[in-house]
Amino acid sequence: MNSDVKNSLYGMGSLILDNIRCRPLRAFIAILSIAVALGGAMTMVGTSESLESTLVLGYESRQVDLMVMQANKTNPMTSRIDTSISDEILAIDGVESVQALLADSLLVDSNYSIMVYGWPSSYQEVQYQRDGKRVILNHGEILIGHTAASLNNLSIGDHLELNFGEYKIVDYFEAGNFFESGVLFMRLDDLQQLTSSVGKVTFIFVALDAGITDQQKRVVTHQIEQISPILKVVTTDEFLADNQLTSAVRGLGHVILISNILLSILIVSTIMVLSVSERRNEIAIFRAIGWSAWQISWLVILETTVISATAAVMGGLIGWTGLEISLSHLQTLGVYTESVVTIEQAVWLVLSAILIALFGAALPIYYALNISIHEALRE
Amino acid sequence: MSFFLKIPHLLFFVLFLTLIPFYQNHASEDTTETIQHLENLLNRSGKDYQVKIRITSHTQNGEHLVVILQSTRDAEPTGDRLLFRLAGENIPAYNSCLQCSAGGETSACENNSGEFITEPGTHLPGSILPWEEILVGACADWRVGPIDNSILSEQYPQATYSVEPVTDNFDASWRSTLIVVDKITGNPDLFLRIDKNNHQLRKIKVVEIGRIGSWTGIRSAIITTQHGRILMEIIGFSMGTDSPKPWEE
Repeated sequence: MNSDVKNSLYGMGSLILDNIRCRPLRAFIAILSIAVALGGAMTMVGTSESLESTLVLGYESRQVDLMVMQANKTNPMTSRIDTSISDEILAIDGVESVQALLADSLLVDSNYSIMVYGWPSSYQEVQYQRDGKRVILNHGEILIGHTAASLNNLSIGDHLELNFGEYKIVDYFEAGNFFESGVLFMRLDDLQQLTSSVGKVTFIFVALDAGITDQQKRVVTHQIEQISPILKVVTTDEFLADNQLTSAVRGLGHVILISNILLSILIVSTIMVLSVSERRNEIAIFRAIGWSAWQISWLVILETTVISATAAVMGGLIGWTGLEISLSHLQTLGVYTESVVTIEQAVWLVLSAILIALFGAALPIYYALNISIHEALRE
Repeated sequence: MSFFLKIPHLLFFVLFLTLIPFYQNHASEDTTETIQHLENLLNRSGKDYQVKIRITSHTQNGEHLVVILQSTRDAEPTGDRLLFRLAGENIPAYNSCLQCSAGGETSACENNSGEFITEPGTHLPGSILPWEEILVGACADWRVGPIDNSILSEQYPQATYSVEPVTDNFDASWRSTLIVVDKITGNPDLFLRIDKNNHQLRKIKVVEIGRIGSWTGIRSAIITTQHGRILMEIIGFSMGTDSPKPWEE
């Protein structure tokens, strides 16, 4: 009995491979179409996940537990809150440290934009080594991240015009994450002056005491929001969920994934209907010698599975290449991120292949089971 | 032939049908489409909105000035009202209100609590931006067309279109505005303000085009005048005017 099953599977495998070998162009077109469809979807999903994970790494490297910003702002980068609020936040029980940041996009040499972070002069972010000593940036001096330097062909000693202000790059800074490596650091007062934001910052990052409970975290959040009605306090997870760019790319990625799966099902279905119709006699013979409806169905399902699985592997490679291209394009727009391939993406790919194989087989199975043995054998 | 066998042929036919309009769209891309595209970029959709513009000036003397202009537009049956609030370092807070008539004329609002400046050549406080650059399109839409002046076409061969307010109720210091368009994207690269002697009065370089709320338009531009350069950037935009008016905050 066991040997029968093995023989049956071996026989089916031979039949499937023979069929693919006899119609290589058709199989190739089907596999390529599905691979491109899956690869495109994987590129979108991968881009959103890479953006998110880069931001998460950024917050982790700064030990950010809570972010304080201006409420009712669709674009968080346009948030402006008083710098003095950071002292009030630091006085709250459970708050270990705070960091104030002003972020803005500035025009470089009247040509392209770059993200600039302004830090208070007491922070180590605006300090660098000069003649063996650690010194604070002077007015008109900036530090550049390695990614920003390499992408924009800039190096130490270069002069830049930022929103018509003259600045000199005096050193590189070592960023804790890839995203920050694509920006410029300058003194907070310089950036406030350049952007007419004196006394204002974009965010206040809050680090809480180690071991703080969720209940205590909620109390701290409430106390910060009590300082001023214009304040909004979010965790980094909440901030990421609200991030328009990643949400838009993620949403679009899922829509494309679903539509491309449907398209792939249609392609497999069409190819398999053609294949089954050409093998009407063969299938009629199988039915005549006693193959059950299940065995015929398995024959079709296994063939769609072989096509889908091959396409999924190719789609993965196409998706990864697309992800690299997509992220390098985003870098030209000033969004710096590392490509991240997750297990979740691989799971999506496998699930997609299974869905395509099962649903793509439905129509050809229906057609195969409705073949009249008498008519087919007479042809 | 079985119904199932017809499906692939049907699919290819549907695919062919969907490709025809795609091809036709590209084939018929012409001047009219570029003009429509330019008008869409210049004319805002929707009337009630608030916009925040950062104006950075760099004078010939090397002076660096930054002000924020916040503008609220209220659509009212008697004509749109535009409320301006200007804030920046070294300048006092400045408020102004404009009323648009149905014919596109600009006048001071009744009970205007702020100042109202319309004289050509007057600069926005805290900047070297001529007020007329803000006021000229405040009450009128823009109309784009081919350049109908052969002398201008010869003198500025890089320009292909001109843009004027639909209603000619504003006495600007220029006679024509020519547009230099990127041939590939159809987006404007430069606007040239030309005076009555056919000399270039000002140059406006488009820096960035992108989403502004629900509308796609020019997000930042550099205006070069005889007094220096001005960078104008839209740094905030929201539809509706439910939040307090600039001078009520």
